[in-house]
Amino acid sequence: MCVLCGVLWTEDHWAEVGAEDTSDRADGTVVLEVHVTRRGQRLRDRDRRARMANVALRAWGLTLQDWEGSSYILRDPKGKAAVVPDLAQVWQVAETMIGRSLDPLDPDLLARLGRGK
Amino acid sequence: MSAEHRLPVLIVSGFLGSGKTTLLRTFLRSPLAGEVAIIVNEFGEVGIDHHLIRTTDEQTVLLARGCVCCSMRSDLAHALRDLLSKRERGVIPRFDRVVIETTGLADPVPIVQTIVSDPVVRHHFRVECLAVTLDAVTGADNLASYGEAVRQVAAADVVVVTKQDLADAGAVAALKAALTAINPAALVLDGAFGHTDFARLLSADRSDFRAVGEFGAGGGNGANGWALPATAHGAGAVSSRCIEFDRPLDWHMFGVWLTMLLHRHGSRILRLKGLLNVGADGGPLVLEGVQHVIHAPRHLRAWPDADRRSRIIVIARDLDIDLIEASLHAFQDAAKSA
Repeated sequence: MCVLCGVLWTEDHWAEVGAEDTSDRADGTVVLEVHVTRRGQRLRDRDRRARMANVALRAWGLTLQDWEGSSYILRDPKGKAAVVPDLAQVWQVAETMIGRSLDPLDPDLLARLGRGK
Repeated sequence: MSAEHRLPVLIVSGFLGSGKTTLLRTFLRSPLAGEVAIIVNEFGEVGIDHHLIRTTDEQTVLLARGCVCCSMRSDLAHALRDLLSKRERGVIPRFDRVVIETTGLADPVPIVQTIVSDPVVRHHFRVECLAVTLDAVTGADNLASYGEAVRQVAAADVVVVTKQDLADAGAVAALKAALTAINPAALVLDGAFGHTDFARLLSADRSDFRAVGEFGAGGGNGANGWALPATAHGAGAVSSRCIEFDRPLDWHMFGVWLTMLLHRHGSRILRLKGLLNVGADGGPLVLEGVQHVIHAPRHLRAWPDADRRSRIIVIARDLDIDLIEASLHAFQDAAKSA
């Protein structure tokens, strides 16, 4: 949990790590300015991550949205929704929702990506 | 606790009779070993190997009730926690490194997974190196016949070709070619009588990322990086490639692609190792994984050479590696317009 924001989160999964590192002081002190910068970057990262996942998920009519910086919400076209903790869990939950497997090597999916659909 | 303060764990794996214990006994006499705690896992009712390793009894833990790779993961985590607790309380002498010797039939990936993912263990221990012994005399047959041997070699950071005193040079060269076809990212060391270059073995974490760069620069497969053909092994058709990217990768789309790939095909992605240019300042992002297990990515302070392209070595079993590369490109291209 972030002691300054009160938001529960874990960044345990490797895909939830940001591409840019922002460090606190070497002695471990939490610096408010660094914290604010990091929180903003983290939320932007999560939003970007959800948008990238949507590029693939829209092939099945699914959407993913960041939820308060702590989880993601996956929705199907009928309004069914599920909360997923991180990107790695999205695919299992999505498969349960649509009742079939998702394969990034599926030639049809790759063709759709190429057409921007 | 920062990564630098975590205790290194050296995992020694290798097929039955390939010389793991002999290598370990020699290593323990080496000044490079430092103070070592050992976890020995044996398959069968009665453990033997732990009697062959001379060290302080209290620092040797025997996981004797089964194979550590499938049924003993909670015991492994418990053993590591227990060692740490005793070390901190001064019950056992202080140690600087843990060595885990697996059974000859173990898939080492769940061991790595336990160290990387256990909520307590991962904050106090890190995988230093996964070293695999391969018998120069019987290694080729083992690779051809046993999926376990292939999985061990594919997951390795370092492969020590043991018992070279018993094999002729031609056979050793053929074996090295075979194991390189399975795992081009592994550092290959010569071994005989339990001896090898332990200094290089322990520094493999640094040197083998130079190897990633060398593979990328080496060409051999036209513009799309270095590749070796699929070869039939005991675990199926294993193929490997170094996929290269000239432009910076979209890290978030890369995460989407790889989590999706591992969800569907993780058991057939034997190894991933890469230097990723994600457009960040400083050096590349280092990515390492075996099957479903991906280590936390880390930034290098600088690139190992002048080449700024992303280079990802993929070792896959029974998967079309052309399709993997095409898929990665399709996802990255789609990220540009998203």
